[in-house]
Parts: sequence; structure tokens; C-alpha cells
Amino acid sequence: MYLGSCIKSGGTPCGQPLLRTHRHLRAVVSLDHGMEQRLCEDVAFQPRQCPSLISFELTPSFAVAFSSRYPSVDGRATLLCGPESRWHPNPMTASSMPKKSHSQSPPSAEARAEMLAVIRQQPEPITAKAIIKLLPIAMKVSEPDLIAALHEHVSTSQLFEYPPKTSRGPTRYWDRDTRELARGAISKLISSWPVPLQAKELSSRLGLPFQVSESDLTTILADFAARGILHEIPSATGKGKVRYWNRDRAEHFRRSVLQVLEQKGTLPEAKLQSALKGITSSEWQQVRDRLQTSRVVFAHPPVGKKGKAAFGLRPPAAAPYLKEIARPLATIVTTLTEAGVPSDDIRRAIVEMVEAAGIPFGVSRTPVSKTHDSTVSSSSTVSDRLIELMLTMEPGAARGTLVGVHDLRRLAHMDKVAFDTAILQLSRRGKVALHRDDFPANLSPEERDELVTDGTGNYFRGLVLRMAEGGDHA
Amino acid sequence: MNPFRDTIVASPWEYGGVDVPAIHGFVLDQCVNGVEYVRQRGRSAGLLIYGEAGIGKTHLLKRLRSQLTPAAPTATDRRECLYVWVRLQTSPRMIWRTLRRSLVDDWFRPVSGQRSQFDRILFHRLAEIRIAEGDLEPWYEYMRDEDPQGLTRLMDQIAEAQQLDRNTAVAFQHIAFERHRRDLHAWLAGTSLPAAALERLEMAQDEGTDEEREDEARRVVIMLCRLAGNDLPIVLSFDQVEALQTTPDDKDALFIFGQLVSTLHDSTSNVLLVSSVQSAFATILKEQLREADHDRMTSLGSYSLNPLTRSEAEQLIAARLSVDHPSIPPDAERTPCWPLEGQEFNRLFESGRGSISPRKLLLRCAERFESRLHDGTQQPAPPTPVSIQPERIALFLAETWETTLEEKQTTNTADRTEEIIRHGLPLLMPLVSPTIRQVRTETLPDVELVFESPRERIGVSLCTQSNMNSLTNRLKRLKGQFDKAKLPRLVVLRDRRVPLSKTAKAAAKNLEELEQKGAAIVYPSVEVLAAIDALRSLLSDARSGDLNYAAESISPQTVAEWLQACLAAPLREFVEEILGTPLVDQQDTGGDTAVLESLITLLAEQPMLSVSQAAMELKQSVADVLAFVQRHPQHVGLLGQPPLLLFRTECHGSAPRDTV
Repeated sequence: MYLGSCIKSGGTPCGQPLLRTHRHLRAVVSLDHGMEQRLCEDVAFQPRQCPSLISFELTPSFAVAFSSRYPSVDGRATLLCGPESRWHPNPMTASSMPKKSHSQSPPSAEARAEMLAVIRQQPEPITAKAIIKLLPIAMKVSEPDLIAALHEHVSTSQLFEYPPKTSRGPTRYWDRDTRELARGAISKLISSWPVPLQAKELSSRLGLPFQVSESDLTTILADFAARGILHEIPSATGKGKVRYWNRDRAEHFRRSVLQVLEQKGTLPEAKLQSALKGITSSEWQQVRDRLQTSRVVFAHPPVGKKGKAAFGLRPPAAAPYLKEIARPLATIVTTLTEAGVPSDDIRRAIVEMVEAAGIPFGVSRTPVSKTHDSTVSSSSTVSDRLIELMLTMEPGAARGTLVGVHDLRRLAHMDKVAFDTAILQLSRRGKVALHRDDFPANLSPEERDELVTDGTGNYFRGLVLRMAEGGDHA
Repeated sequence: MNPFRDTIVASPWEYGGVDVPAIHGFVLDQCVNGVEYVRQRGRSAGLLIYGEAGIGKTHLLKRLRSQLTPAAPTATDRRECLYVWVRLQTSPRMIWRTLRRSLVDDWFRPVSGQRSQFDRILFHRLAEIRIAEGDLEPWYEYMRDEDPQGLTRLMDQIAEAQQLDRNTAVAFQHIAFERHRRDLHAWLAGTSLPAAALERLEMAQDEGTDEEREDEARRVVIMLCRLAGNDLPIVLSFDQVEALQTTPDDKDALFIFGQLVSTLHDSTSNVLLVSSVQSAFATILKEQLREADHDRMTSLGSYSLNPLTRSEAEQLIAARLSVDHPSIPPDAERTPCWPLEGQEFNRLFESGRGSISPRKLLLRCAERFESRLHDGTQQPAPPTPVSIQPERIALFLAETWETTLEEKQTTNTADRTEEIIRHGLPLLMPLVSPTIRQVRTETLPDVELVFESPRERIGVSLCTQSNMNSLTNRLKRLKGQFDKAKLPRLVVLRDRRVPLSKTAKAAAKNLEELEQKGAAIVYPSVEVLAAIDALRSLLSDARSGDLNYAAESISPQTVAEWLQACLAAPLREFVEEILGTPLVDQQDTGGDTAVLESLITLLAEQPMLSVSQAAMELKQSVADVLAFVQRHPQHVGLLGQPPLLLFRTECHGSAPRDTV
């Protein structure tokens, strides 16, 4: 495409080449109105009136006619602009043609406005070449001219320059500020990410169409940390880099305690504390007390004389502690039996002793029929608790969102058999719909163990609360 | 005809069939509400649907499409919307191009008795700028026939008001005047067109690097969505998302899909994105997608297609029995679960699973219906075995392969070559040689596929463009990128159906120079392309839980193992051509000699022998015999429908049989 220079009626022919691109011959020249009319009549193309320029698009039929008329010049011709407007073959060959001068007139105000509109519509930075493609034909400008115009807008902060996508690629332009976008993206990511992230991990997850430089990232993170928008969290390994999160250190350590206990089971206090990298003694005391008070973590007294105090996610089991008195009790019972004491008397004495220790035996006196009700009630309680857990962990569960069995099992703190039984029970009662894994044979035994099984070759990966009439769950 | 036999909906564009409104009605309502949400709020939204294999995901999309299809001509007072079905059997790096092609195909698709969806966009846009009341079609026809200049002016106004780029504006003009439909369809779908066709269309086509073409496809899709306008919401439904992954741990594929969803969600204002996946995949999506992408995909929620309840199962059976058939007893004489026995029906709901998928129920009913039809007995059919014999699966796969291959051979066209190779070759390579893996490289923008073998790197560049200018430019760029030190072997893949034109001297020269530099020019035959297409189709169906035998989904691993065992010589030869070296045979063919001798002796005694009988005589499994036959097409042939028969072929000439 060629942008001709302005001439007046009666002036000398401008002599500039008219280039053929694809199927169209295009020229943008400046003419007076009489000339425009005559050109239109001559070549039957449609002019579009611009403030100072007139754009012509030649129809394909004219392009063909033109080519056949001047076959020797392969579509190159000179548009002679003057009182006697005529088409002439261009005497110049392609190689002898003058290179485009970049001293041409810059894009018009209208072209600039269109250029800005095009850039604003883009979901990501765009190259000058791509902008030209998207400009209407009447406003096409050369790449150097466009880049010059883009730089003017960059200097007034209307536009921003972006580095190329590849090392050899062209510079890109956009109307949005990278640093501002990066700040927004970091803030959004940090607020939704479930675990702390290192700066590098954070950068790779931002999903921005450009790379945030390390210095920009460091500055933004430091600023956010200073303003309390995010917190610095010690690395997980001790040797790694600091991580960032929108929760404070106390919350991080609280979650870490739960995670460690879930993975490793009950742990002595020293081991548990050493598993929390970067925690200070005062922080440990605060976290430990808070977890114990809220009964999320339970202290386990030492078992026997050599045992150590420990912490776990469930209260300690009674059996290991009572083991110490089991053998002496058995000896005493044998001695008394051999001495002729009736077994009923021995039982009564033991019951009285246990009740005196604070364990009432009321439950054992409950009639059989009530025991059955109690089992049902206990089973219902477990089911209700599982449904509550589903609703807590997945807010969409009430409207039919799938809850993963793996996640529910982790939060339910139940052994596998009890959990699987409770889930199957819920399904039988029509409370939930179970979703099978279609290819359980492809899973490892450990992966299959994570799923719920009915023992007949079916493995279930997720469950959904069944809807009752009206869309609420059953 | 067995009223229960039809259990698979292959596409939402299928017509007919029986629906039970109560089954998954809640989820269908959510989709319809989603469309209204998009229309009223003027913003795009997403919705995720999931369920186990055979639960009816594609059937639900069919119901949605059917509900949205207009039943009357476009009028100013009738609400309408557009529908697009995208089956993601494609390379993730071509996802936007696949979406573009699917969208354009669907919008040009003839709708029974109605105008195409592109026509409806036209009518809506015309109605916006020219006050019209009532039916729009007669008015449009009048304008087109009696006042074409007036219609042109209106089209110009639309282009200006919608800020359409030049190409879209010209395309829309062609639609209005019903010009060049075939070429226009191809252009809009992104197919490379020869210069003469572009001349006719008065449109440009700029085919740059792979990344640029993907960018171009994204721009066109967003532009077309904008063209439809806020009054005409678009339902974009994504099916078989699982098929995007080349391997189960392919996180890139899901990342790219997430980005596509987010871009559509944020860059358009009239799109409802409906993604449907298997239940197991829903949890993978949640774990592996960026949270922001998952949020957009589920901005209107995620909904489960649950297994059938007892009442739904009874309704489904009743709906299928609402046909005239001499073997179906009158309503009063049969139970609600006929042809199943009451006890058998109850068992489906007794165990822990509590319910059953529609496909499983229908297949069970189909079996029972047939046994009643043939035996005339009321005896319960033997229960379906929990695990199906591998031999029967192998036979089923062989049969499915034959059907798929035949279909792919019939429909294969040159414009699909790139997609077939881009998606299929990375799936084929590990089957042929497990040591070869696909790697990504950013430094070779015109080399779409790069494989790494223990010996060297091999790049494949797809040069199948019909437009000779684009091809010339691409070959020129490729010359610059081909550096023996970085890429020891470059394969330029061409399609014989798209030859170089007589005037494309520069392209011919560039191709020659590339060859002189050491690049290999490979022309896959239509048979090879169809076989790769069939291979990717089979594997994609398996990944999405859509490949079923006797109500059980066949896993992708099973399909891959079967393909590995039965891979045809032409496919192996094609891979060898790509690699430039003969493959080390993975199978121990040395042991075949004894089996071959025995089999030839058997066939000398009995010219036609069933596969199962041969397996028994040779003391081999049926699957092994089938694999053996595939390896020796020059000696043994396979015939007919199950039970498959073996026969002896001549040792010279081409093998007179269809092989995998």
C-alpha cells in the first residue's frame, strides 16, 4: 500500500507507484473533488471521503482489467494525478523502485483513534503488524509510521510497551499497565491459593500474557507484605526461599500442624515442633494452646513409665492406658475365684470400682431394644455429620456439585471400613448418588484404597447430594 | 427391532429418539436458565456437567440443542439462540482452530425446515437497524431480490456499527446475498484456500506460523461471537474434554483448555460455556486447572448427572416400550420393569451403588428382550459376567476398528490432514516405539511436532496449504529454522491431493532446497491418514468413556494395548518414514514361525476356520491369534462379522484384506 503525497489540481503528477497487494489495488491520494469525480467515472471504484485523503479500493474486475492492460509491469503502475488523470504503466522495475520513505505524513487523527480502539479491544498485548491487519482499509498505514505513532502514545502513558513473546519477535503494545495488572493478578492469586507460594511459583501461575520481571515481582511482593496484604511464610524445607500467602504465620503453622498429624499420625511434641520449619517457641506455644482449646488437636498423656507426651487429631485411645491394670486385675480375679468368691460378687465389686473412678455403667443397663435405637441414631449421626462436612467443604454441594471421596475421607477422620459403610448407607437411603470410577483396574492398589468400594468390583470416586423436589437436597 | 438397542447418542445434532423429561431434567433446566442469564445480563458464563460413562452427557446436550432449535421462522418477537458442539478430539495446540471449525460448521449446518444459524444472525442484525415487525424472512427475501443495493447499504451499516473487520464484513455480505457458500464456509472455518478462490471471495488469508494461525482463529471466533450480538446468546458445548490429553499426566492440555474457557468468558458477552466431562475427570479438572479458569468454567455452577433412581428407570423402560412391536405385551399384562424380571430389576438397586446408568439399564433390557424374542421363554437371562473375557473385547475392538476405518476412509479430505497428524501422530508414536516421546520447542515456530528418540530429534512440519503464497512463505521460513545441529531430521509432510500449482515456482524451489539441506518430504497415503484418524478416534472415545462393550467402558490402556498388538504394517512403515530408520521390532517374531506353520497346516485342512477354533487348536488366546494375523497379512486373512473367520492368503502381491 502506498500513501501518496498531497498535490493540487493542475499540479505536476506525483509519479508515485501504486502497489498491487493480494487481489486489490489500493491507493490513498489527495485530490480535489473534481478529480475524484472523474476518477470514479473512469475506473468505477468507490471512493470513501476522508478529511484530507481519499481512499480507493479497486474492484477485482478492475484489477484484472488493469493487469491485462499493463501486463509488463505486473500490477505496478503510476497513478498520475493531474488535470488529465490517467493510468500509466510504471516505468520502474521492482528493484529500481524507491524504498518507502518514512518521512511520510503520520497517521491521521481518525486512524490513531481507530488504532487505539483496536488495541483496547485486545485481550493481550499486540504487535504493530497485527494492529495494521485489524485497521480498516481506509486507515492502513505503514509499519514504521504506526510504530512512531505508538511510541508517541507510550510517551504519554496512554499505551504501554511490552517485550516480545520470543527473543526475535516484535515489541507489543497494550493500553494496560503491566505492573498494575501484575499487582491485581498477584493479589487475586494469593487470596485464592490454598497454600503459600514462592515468588517463582507465583510468577508461573499468574496466567498473564506477559512475563513479570523479577525486580517488578520483588517490589510488588515487598509492598504487599509491608501493607499486610500478604505475609511472608518460611520455606517448607529450611533451605528454600521465603513464600507468600494472604494468611498470617499463625494460620500457616496451625494448618501445618493438622497436615503433619494427618500424614504421620500421633507425634511427640518435640517431633511435631521440629516438623514446623521456621516456627519460634512463643509461636509454637500459641498455636498449640489455640488448637487444644478449640479441641482440634488433643494432648496424649504418656503411656506407661517410658512413654512420652504426644499430640494427635483424635483423643487418645483408652486401651493402651488400661493395659497396665489388666494383668494385676486378672491375677486378683483368679485369686478370688479360687478363694470361692462368686463371680457375680467379683463383677459387682469391679463395676463399683469403675463407677467410683468416674465411668458410669448406665449404658450397659439400657434395655436391648433401646440399644438398637441407639445404633440407628449413631449411624444417623455419622451420616448427618458426613452430609454437614460435604456442605462445609463444597458450598455448591447443596446444588449438586460433586464432592470427592478422597477429600471427604480426609476430613471425616474415620477408618476406611466405617467410612465406606457410612457412604454406602447414605446411598441406600437415597441421600446421595455415588459416581463410579470407570477404569478402576488402571489404578494402583493405593489409589483404589482411597475410593469407596461396595465389594463387588465397583469403586466410587465422588458423591453428590440427591435433590429433592424443588431443587434442595434430599 | 429391539426398542432398547439404541444406547449411544453420537452427536447432539442427531434427530429423533425418545426422551424422559424427568431424567436429568434439573440439569437441563440449569442449562436453559444459563442461556437466559447470559441474555439478560449481557455477560458470558460457564457451567460444568459431569457424570459417569453412559450416564447421558451427550444425550443431555442433544436435548438442550433440540430445545434451543427454533421451531418457526425468525421473527422480532421470538427469542432465539445459537448452538455449537465442539468435540475436543484434537491437539491442544489447535484448540482455537478446532473451535473455529466446529462453530462455522454448525452455523452453516442445514437445520431441518429452517434457516441456518448464520442466516438467523443476519436476520437479527438486519432487524436491529431496520425497524421490522413480525416475520423477518419474507422481508429479507424481498430486500435481497428487489432492492439489493438497499440490502448492501444495510450490511455496510451493520459492519460499521459492530466494528467488524474487513474480512468479517465481506463474509457477512456474501452470506446476505448467498454467494460463494462453499468457499466462504471453508474460509471462515480456517481452511487454506487457493488464490483463485480468495479472488472470488474478495477476501484475504494470511497464514503465518502455527502460533499466529491459532491467534487468528481466536480473533475470528471472538469476532463471530460479537457478530451474533447480545440478543442471540450462543451455547458453546465442549464434549470429550478428556481426549485433549495425550497422556493422563498431560497438564499442558488442561491448562490450554482452561485458558480458552477464560478467554471466551472474558472476551465475549453472549456465550454460555457448557463443558461436559466424566465424574473422575471433574476432580482432575478441579485439581489441575488454574483456580481462575475453573471459576470461570463453573461460574453458574457444576452439576452432576446422577445414576437412575428406580422410578426413573421404570419411566425410561416405559418410554422405550411406547412403540408398536408384536412381542411387547399390552400395558396391563406386563410389569413396569418388563422385559426384566422383578427380582432382576430389584437387584440393580439393592447393592451399595443404589442405582444404574441409563446405558447399562438399556443394554440389560436389550439382552432380555432379545432372549424373550428368540426363545419365547420367560426364563431369566444368565447374569452378565462382572469381568468380560479379553478375547471378546479383542473381537469387539477389531469389529469397531473396521467400521471406524471404513468411515474415516470415506470422509477423509485434504483439509483435515493437519488436524489428523497433529493429534494422531503423538498417539501413534508411543504405540510403535515406546522410547520416542514428544517434546516441545519454542524455537521452531513452523515445526509443529518434535519427537525425541534415544538417537536424535525429529521435527515434523505440516506443509499442506492449498494457498501457494502461504506455502511458499512457510517453506521459506522453514529453511531458516532448519539447522542440522539443533534438529538432525526434519520431515516436511505434504498431501498429494494438494499439489504445487504450475505457477508456484518459488514454493517448488524452496521445497527442493529444503530437500538438498537434508529434509525428508513425506506424502502419507489416504489409507494411512484414515488409519491414524481411526486410531485417534478410538483412543479418544475410550478416554471419554464412550467406548463400551456389554455395558462396560473399555479403558484407553486396553485399546492402546490392542492397537499395539494389531498395528498394521502401513502405519509402522509411515512411522519408519518419519523416523528415517527401520524400527527395531518390539515383538518377538521369531516365535511366530512355529505358530505360522501350524496355522497354515490347519488352513490346508480347513480353508475357513473360526478364530476361536484356531485359538483352541494352536493353544493360544483369541487376542494373540488376532494379533498374529495382523502381523502376517501376507499369509493369513480375516473375514466377516463375528464369529470371525481365518483364511489363507497368497504369499505374493498385496494382502487382499483390511488390516488395522
